[in-house]
Amino acid sequence: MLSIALLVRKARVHAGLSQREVAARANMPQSSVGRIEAGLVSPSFATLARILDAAGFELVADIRPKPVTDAAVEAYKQDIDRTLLRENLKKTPEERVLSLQAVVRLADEARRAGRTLRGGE
Amino acid sequence: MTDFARLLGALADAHVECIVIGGLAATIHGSARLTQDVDVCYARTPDNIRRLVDALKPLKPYPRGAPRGLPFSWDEATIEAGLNFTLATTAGPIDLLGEVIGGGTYAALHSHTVTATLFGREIRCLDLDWLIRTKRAAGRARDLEAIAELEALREELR
Repeated sequence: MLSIALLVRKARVHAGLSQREVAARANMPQSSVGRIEAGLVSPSFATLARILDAAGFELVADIRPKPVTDAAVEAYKQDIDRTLLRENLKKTPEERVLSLQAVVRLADEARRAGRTLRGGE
Repeated sequence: MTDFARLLGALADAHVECIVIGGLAATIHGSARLTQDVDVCYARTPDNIRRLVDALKPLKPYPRGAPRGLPFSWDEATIEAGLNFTLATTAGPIDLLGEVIGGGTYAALHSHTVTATLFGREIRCLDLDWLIRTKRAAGRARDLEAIAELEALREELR
């Protein structure tokens, strides 16, 4: 995640402003912007919004669920053959379904052969 | 044997409002795992239920695994009286879900879908994030490996 220091610097640089210019627009001393960009102080939400506003940006905050990590899933993930996935990702969705159809057909034929071997057919 | 093109084609050609979920959705996103049925979440509006009935009627749907001869009638009243149906058809197995655990109804899922072109039709499919989310919500041990693969796919796509 972007730090507040980097966020302020990114906005200011993107706006093509110096620390002094953005500070003047935000009605605060240049040293305050400098200290924030250096990571020496953490501004309040309102101050951060003011600096970003001065640089022409809107501060948008939102919440989202933390990514779920599950030890069992992570363990399974170690065994995933990613080369198969990468090959699949080169295909179109239709090609992926056609490949699945071919495997299903093969599995069906193998089951039929198994039944024949057991004398079921 | 499942005929994916026939099942999806029947639904799409009848303009059934539905979202492909489950293993086939995983395949569409790039999964290498085998799945043998088609799972869809369908809209439970009267018009859509009528389209769903008309779409699958030629494929002779019947409750999967149930003994033959049950008084089962594939019609709008049957769909309206139930919610989720696991069916066998002449084109293979299909699961029709009125609600998905962790995802809700067709209307709730609609904004979390992508459209894939399959067999000349536009097929609506649950997006990868929500596919993972619904599989996690289902809480089935057998889904853990599938979730791992879907998460690996998501990492490959980043």
